[in-house]
Amino acid sequence: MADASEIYKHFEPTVQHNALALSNIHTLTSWGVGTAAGILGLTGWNGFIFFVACWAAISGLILGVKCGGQPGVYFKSGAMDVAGTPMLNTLLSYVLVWTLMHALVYIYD
Amino acid sequence: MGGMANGTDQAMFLDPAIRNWVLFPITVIMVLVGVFRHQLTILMAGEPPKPDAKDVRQGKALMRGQILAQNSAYIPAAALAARKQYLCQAYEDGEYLKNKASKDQGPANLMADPKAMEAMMGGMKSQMMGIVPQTLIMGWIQFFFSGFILIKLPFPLGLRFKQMLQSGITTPNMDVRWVSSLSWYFLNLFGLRGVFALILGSDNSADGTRDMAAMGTMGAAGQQPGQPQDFHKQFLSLKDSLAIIYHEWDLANVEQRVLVKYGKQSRLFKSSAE
Repeated sequence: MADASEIYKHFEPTVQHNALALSNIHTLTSWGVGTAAGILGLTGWNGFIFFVACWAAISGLILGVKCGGQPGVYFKSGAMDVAGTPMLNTLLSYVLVWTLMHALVYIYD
Repeated sequence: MGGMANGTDQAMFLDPAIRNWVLFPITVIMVLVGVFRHQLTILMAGEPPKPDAKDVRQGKALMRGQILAQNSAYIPAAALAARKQYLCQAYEDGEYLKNKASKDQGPANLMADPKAMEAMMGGMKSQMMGIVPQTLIMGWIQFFFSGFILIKLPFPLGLRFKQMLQSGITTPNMDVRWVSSLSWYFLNLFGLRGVFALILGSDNSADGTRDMAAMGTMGAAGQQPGQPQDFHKQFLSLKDSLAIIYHEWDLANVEQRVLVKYGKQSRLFKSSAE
């Protein structure tokens, strides 16, 4: 079998569409989760544990409901693309919102 | 404030005026500047230069040879041999070159080709587009919003960060978690990327951190961009790689692959046709 079949395996516009949809889900949920963490007054390690727990739950939901249990069909690297690679980016977003909400509720008069 | 029994927990409350006039404005300004940059980049990219017919022909001829090399398994051996011979001869003679007469002279002088000049200027313009707003905003923040505490981070950091995050405030005992406006700027810089992707779509030009990464690689790769491609050399090298292609008919053992796929045969055997 020729190696060239690898090049034609993925249709690029759909790959990008999926990546954008996933990124939007991650952004919106990180804002929601960050707001929750800030209002709850989580600080220090609790905040990060909360993030990891919510990340696991949300990734599970994405894999189960949106991908129908088969992430390889929708993403090039399968589950790693859904739950592993975007984690750092989402973490940065989460920290921003968490800091903002925590300050709004607890620091300002 | 959260009921922590930490001995050194410094409980402070901040004036809500700081929130209204510093916290929100910084974030709003950063979002707006990002969107503005994105639109400006699109505007300045302008129309792509209209390619000359001969330029396009050069590039397409090269692509045709590459596609043939890639997909040689899908056409019969006779067709491959005919195409190979035609293309190799054409490359050798310089049939597809823009200036057939000057094929042995080497790459054209960069300044003499106006289109290449414009391409270089475009690259430089978009790089400026990235660096200038970030520097401006940082300077603006340091000028107007320095010398006071803005926010408390919900998580602790090492003492080394104190100097960077509390710049301009000389209190040696204050917790590292109380930070100045510059650190709020950094938080926003990293955290707003998701928001930009949400508003502007995936390939937006509003990302500040991408420019920082680009600046790092600019020194190494900045010397390369303007060299015009020497098509004659590329044609010759493609001709060499075409000449050694060995035809492997993709359908050679297709009957075995079908049998294996439907479970009638356990594995592929070496057929005499290969």
